[in-house]
Amino acid sequence: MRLVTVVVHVALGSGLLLGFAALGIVGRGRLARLRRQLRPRLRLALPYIALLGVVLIANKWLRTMAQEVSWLLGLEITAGIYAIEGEFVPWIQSFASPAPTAVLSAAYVYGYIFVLTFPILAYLALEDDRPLRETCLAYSYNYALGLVLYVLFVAYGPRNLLPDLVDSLMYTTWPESQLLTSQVNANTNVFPSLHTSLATTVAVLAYRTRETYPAWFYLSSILAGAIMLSTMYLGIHWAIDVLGGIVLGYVSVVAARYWDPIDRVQTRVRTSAALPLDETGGRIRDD
Amino acid sequence: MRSGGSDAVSTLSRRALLAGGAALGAGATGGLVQWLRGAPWSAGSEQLSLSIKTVPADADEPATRIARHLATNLQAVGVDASVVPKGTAELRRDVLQRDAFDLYVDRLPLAPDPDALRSLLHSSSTGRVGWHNPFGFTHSRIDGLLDRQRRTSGTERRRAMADLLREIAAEQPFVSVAIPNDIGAVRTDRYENWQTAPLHSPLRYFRLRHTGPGMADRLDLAVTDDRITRNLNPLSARYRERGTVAGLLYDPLGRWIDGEFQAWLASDWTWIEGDTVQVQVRLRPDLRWHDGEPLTAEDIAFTYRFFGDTALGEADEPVPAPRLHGRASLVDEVEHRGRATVRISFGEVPRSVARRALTAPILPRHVWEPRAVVTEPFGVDVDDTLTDAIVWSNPEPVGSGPLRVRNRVVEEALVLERFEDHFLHRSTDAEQPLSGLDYRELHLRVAPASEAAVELAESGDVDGTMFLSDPAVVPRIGRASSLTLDVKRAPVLYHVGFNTRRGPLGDTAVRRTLARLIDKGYVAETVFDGYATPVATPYAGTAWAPPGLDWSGSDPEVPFLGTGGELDVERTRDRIQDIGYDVEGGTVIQR
Repeated sequence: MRLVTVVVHVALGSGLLLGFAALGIVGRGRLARLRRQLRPRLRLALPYIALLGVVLIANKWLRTMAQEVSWLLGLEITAGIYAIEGEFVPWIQSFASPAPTAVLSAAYVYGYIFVLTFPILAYLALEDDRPLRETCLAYSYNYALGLVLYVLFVAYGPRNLLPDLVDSLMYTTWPESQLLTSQVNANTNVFPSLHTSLATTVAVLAYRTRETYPAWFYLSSILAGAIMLSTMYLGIHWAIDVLGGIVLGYVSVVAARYWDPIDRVQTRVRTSAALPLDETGGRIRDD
Repeated sequence: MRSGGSDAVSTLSRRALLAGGAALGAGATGGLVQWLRGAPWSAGSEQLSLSIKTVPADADEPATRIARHLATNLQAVGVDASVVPKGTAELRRDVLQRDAFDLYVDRLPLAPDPDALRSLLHSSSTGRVGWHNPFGFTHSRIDGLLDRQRRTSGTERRRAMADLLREIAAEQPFVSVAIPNDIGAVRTDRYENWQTAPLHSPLRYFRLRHTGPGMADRLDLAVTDDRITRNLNPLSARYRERGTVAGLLYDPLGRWIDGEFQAWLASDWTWIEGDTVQVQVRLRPDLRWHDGEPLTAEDIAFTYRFFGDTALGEADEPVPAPRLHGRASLVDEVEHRGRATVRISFGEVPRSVARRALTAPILPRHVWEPRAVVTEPFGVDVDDTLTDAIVWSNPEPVGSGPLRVRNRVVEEALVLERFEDHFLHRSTDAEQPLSGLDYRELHLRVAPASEAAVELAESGDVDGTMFLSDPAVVPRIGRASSLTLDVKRAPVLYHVGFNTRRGPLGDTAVRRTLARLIDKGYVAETVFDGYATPVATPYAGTAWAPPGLDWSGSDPEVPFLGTGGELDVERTRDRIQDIGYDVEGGTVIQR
């Protein structure tokens, strides 16, 4: 099955990137400590990771029904986006050539997966579990809000509206990639760009942890920029989708800082049960 | 006055800009200016504005590009035109159910017999859901010719048809743009005998032979249209394209096989031609439905009645099936005589036309009769009556065909299995039109686009593709050593449909001028890479088309207002003014 082959290739590639970054950015010291304290840290992180898992599964499960509802209730904005934005994406594509296509295709797939997964590892390697919690929460908000916006808006990307001006560059040079992306994207859901929003989320969180991981802040910002550019260069998204994605990404991070539903539940359980604090990992509460 | 909410968006216009970073800024400013201009409170006249609905490039790139070609030329002339992409089923809902469109670009399946034009254009067809005059077009001379061609045969019919096609070309209820080629890729390592029938014909898939010993376990085919995983209702005009998959699951009384009209569900038939035409059909013995129930003459009688009125008399007016109705409309009456004999009466329709009715798929009464109720689906505003039979998705189809559905994964795959009780698979039957299927299962795998489908074939994940619409894959198939290219003229017409109920589009002169904004030759060359024929009429290239409508480098009736794809803007504006529209400051003003 071809899809399996693509998934394996991409997983291996991303895994390699993760490995290098883990050694180079996280550092052997932290990695060693992580190995020793893996179980307690995972236990603390579990509710957040579980929440993210639930959101992802619900997303996939609801996607088909959401499509139907979207056509019935949503606003069709493709023509409107084009009316406002004009031929900006065709202009970006006018600079297309094989080298940038290869690099930006790699950024769109490998870079994106790396940018999403590395923070989980990097923040798991920290004593302070707050960045990890916020990352999982911000991802969850991204997907949840993204789903709502997908239902509210029906939007096709530039390669689907303007095939005379825009090429599906990645799909023509790397056809198997469409087998992978079609599992995750629906071509009617380009607004907002989830690639952009999640990359923005990661970059903003990287800014917050720039003292611990200065290199990651620079790397993630560059990657986020490359990913945003790639979505337009490859004809997949409009500039307006990217702007929407930046807003969604930022809002998700803010929401993650101020609304932690798991913490609320845990606090309520803890105070109502009047039990002593859990001492296994030592929650560091910073208020 | 019905209107789709999304049409409001099309009043936003845009300026084309290609210069660097100014593209975005100027685009935004330009859009704002035009929006202000079009706003209801703005002083001064309103620009003529048209929206063109079609499918996105992933679904059918040529359709999107035809729409873009027309929109670009309209913009150049000063009409505010926008392309509005919609999913295929959603586009069909807007066009065939809601009358919610100005123009649309879509593919029309062309039945071999042009009697199919009657459902498409007759004024009595308006107000019905489906391929029943979606244009809202009424023309008494065309009505007369549509009726006449159905009652005549031989040279008289040919003459009536020629007149009809000429009138249609003069009136342009729709613009015939091009007849494309179906493109497919096949592997010859595991199966052979691919080219016995076209890519869209169920016969092709019935006749495939496994190259290895014995029967194969499975046949895998790539398709690019996922609607078969969402809905398998043969009556649905929204979800069916050419009825290929439905043709695997349902059987007709007779089929065209290698140029001969042969009995299929029927074992034989006798035509009785007197003042009226009738046919007495005897069914094969012991026919079964996929659920084991016997297929009898009652099902035949039911089917023809049902296509004519899916409400079976329960609604105020008949609610014909959105597609396939044309064939059933030829039938006056069906009487079943015993379990295995039916007599079908056609009135004054000659045998050569009446035969068409026998190609309709037969439906099981015990499944469909309960669905003959009027229904109002949630959230959809439709003026015309719908029945449950029309909107039902038919998730576990009960047909009588050589294949039946085993399971499906929405958006991904449909798995069919060999129906052992089919007459092809019973060696006891005397006259078999074909031998049985040479595989146990047929897996239809949905690929996101034509490129991906070819990729699956090249890698050996599938044994071949069904029909693809993107000509860009042809060189790729040609280069692949494991694949054989299959290219054949498709019985499909790319066309631009007009909603003649809407203002300017009710004016023939307007439609003819709009038709002249399409350079069909240029489209065939660039959009289809030459894998299409530009046409001036739906039945171009057949014996039915009059010589006056032959393509001669340009459309004889509505030639392009320009050359080589370039529109002559001044000339077009003159023409627009000639037909009574003002052009002020480079924009065409609404009347």
